[in-house]
Amino acid sequence: MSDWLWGLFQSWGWSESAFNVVMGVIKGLLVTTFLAVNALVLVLMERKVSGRIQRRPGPLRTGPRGLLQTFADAIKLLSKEDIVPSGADVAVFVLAPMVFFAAATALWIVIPFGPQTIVQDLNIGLIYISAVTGLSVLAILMAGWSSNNKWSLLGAMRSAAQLVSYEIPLVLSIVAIGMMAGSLRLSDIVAAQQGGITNWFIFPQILGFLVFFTAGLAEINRAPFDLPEAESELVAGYNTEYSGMRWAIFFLAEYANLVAFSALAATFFFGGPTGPIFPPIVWFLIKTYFFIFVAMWIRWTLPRIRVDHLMNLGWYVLIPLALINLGWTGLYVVLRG
Amino acid sequence: MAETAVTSEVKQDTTTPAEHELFVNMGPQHPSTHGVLRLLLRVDGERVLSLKPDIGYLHRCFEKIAERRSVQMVIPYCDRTDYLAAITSEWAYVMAAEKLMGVEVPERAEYIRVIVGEMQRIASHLLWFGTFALDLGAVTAFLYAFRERESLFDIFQKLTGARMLYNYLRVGGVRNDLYEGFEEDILRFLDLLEERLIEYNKLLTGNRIFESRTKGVGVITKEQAIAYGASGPVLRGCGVPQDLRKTDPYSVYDRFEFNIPVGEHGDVYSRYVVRMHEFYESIRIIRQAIKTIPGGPWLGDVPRRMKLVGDVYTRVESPRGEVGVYLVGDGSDQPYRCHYRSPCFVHLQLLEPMGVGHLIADMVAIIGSIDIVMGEVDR
Amino acid sequence: MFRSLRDFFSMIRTTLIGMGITIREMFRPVITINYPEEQLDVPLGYRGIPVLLSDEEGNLKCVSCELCAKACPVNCIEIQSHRDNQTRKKVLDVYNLDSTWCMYCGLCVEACPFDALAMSDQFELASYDLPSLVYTRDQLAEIGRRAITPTTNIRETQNFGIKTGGARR
Repeated sequence: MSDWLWGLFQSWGWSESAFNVVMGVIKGLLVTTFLAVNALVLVLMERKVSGRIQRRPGPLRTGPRGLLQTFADAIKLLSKEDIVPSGADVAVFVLAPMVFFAAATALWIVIPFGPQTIVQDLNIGLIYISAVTGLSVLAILMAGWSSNNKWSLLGAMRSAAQLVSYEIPLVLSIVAIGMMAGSLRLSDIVAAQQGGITNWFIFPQILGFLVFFTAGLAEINRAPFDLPEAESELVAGYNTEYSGMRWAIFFLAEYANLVAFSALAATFFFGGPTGPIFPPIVWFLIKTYFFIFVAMWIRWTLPRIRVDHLMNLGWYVLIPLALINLGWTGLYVVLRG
Repeated sequence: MAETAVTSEVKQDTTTPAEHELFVNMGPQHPSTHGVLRLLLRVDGERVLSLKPDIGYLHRCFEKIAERRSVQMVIPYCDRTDYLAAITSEWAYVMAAEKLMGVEVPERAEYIRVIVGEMQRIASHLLWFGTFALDLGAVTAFLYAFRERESLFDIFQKLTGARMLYNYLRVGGVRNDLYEGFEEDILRFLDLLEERLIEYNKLLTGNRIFESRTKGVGVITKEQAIAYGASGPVLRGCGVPQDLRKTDPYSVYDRFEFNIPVGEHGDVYSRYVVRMHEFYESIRIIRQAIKTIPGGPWLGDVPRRMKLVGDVYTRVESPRGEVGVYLVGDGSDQPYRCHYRSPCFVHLQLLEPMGVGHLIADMVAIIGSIDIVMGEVDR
Repeated sequence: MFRSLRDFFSMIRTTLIGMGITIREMFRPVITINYPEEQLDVPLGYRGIPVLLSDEEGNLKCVSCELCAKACPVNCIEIQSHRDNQTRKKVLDVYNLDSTWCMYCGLCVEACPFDALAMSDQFELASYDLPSLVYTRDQLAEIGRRAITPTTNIRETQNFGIKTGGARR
């Protein structure tokens, strides 16, 4: 499609840079739409899954079997008053949700939906991912600081404090993937896992997967690591003072992060969009949604971890494990030849 | 008034506020303060340097109201002091009135009281388990506990007509007899509960994260607990086998066989374990009582004109600790003075030795572990 | 707490146990009652609003002795009556029960020596305006006439209650 458009643009006499801009806008819109649709599904899914786990039916009243619940939620949030607390740093307060959303969206640039379906197949994909994932913490810090609320501040500080403890093992486990594939490009990583289940990285990388999954859950602030917004401790953490649309953007971005995390887990360890019979995008969605379900399942099972325990977990367990995994991966790659 | 008083306390505390310190108002609208408790925290980062509980948001003049009503009319108010364990607070009050009036309680009534009292303990502990889990972030355990609590409330509803505020005990007995089929209902529930307790233990008690959140947190020593006047699971969690049902048996508790579960370390986990064991002890007591309950009347002979003479202090082991009622009678049917001893009020004082030095996240666990009911604290 | 790998792996193990429980619960039937559409059966003796009972001819059994008003801890019952000149009996004129004050304790019903009061199973009493929450004599009598369980020997029945069938007023 890209080639066809390029031909069209050439026939109109447009320059290549103009073409790139237009293509960028189209791709951006596609990704945002994908995220919005996913968030619509996920909000309902989360409520239904939690409901079933707790022996409740979940939302039922809006639409058939509650299917329109997310729309009702969205309309409610849109129509709510947009409150900026007095004493807040208005510019930062307004900017924080946008930065958060931008960070969540930016991750999607390098995630392959299929063999050719990728926004920008960066040759430094893995480095890009590890760089962008840290960005959301900046947004949380902005939100917490600008709200002029002590609970928000505490939430933001927790987020900043725990960043280091999970980011390093996360990056180390990603590095091992790069070593396995011999490339930092995500499409190469997928290609390296083609040809059946035995080629998936999960088998040699089981330890890496454990580290990645644990650190990843902490990264996207999912329970049991939902410390920055720990509801029963910090009221609502960094988004205590947010309401209406701004809060909805935080919410949306959090789900975008969840999808991104699941997609990355699927891509790194479970072959991403590869699979028989069905088209790649279907396999991609199946695998992604499996991990989303697991994340939800964990959320509704576990109590919340304490903030210093998370740091202990990161420094004393995950980093050594990731390093061991790195050594093992080097050995594996050398022996494989 | 109260506002200014409290602020002055804070000012006292801020004489030399360090740059990195922060004052946080935890409550009265905080999700985990179990009602309207307000904690004034001075924190360094998340570490609590000092804390002051501020109470009184739910004060309803229970004692004064009790002095202005005849004895029977106060019983519904007793429900509303400790609304999660209505039976036990009724029990303490009714027992005091009986002693002042010299009323004999029929044996069947005592057995019924024991049964509903232990049912109440289970219901209260179920709620505690649920909210405690919720405080720690385990939402599902909360809903599981409430599911069981609801089925217990169904039995209560059939028996007393209400789900929470029963108004069931009377001076001289209970309001009405056990209904037809009560035995099957309660025994079926107990079997179900035993099954579910295994599930709870697997879901939460054995969980490593849960252990790490609770072990070694909020420790108080035996001596501290006794010096502050703690009672109930908080005291037993420190290793003191003090249970009024055993140490100062009232009603017919001396006829049943049960143990006093005792904790070891006096931390949140010990208190948790004590309560979890109390489920089983309550189940045992109810089973024994159902088996041996005698026939006969359920309401003794009570003089139409009630006369309270003398003074008495009666105490009852409520799910939270020692509930006591001190009644002074002057010959009329209204007590001259009524005092209600609330265990949670005492335990709130313990928050400071328990909580200082811990994180805010631990404060939530500690508050959950002493199982406060603000209605009882403020009365 | 997580100083050793053993702790980490025991965390994973216990987490898996917990997840096993939640997934098992997930495939069990839901226990929710969809309230306005489905309703639980309220047992006899459920303490809803106290209502006035009538005899077979439809006359109120109340003799205006005001024992219920005296027994009420919150003074939510207001009674006015006059003495009929022919029969020399008291006739109930006003019987107002302020349901905003009432705490449904049932002491009024226990105090009544004439089986004239009973706890009904009516509990859907919410309303948008405050004055409509004060129940008058006729409203209470009307609910009482809907009784589908015996209205005599109230003192012997479970919790002094009657059932009126259907909880809507």
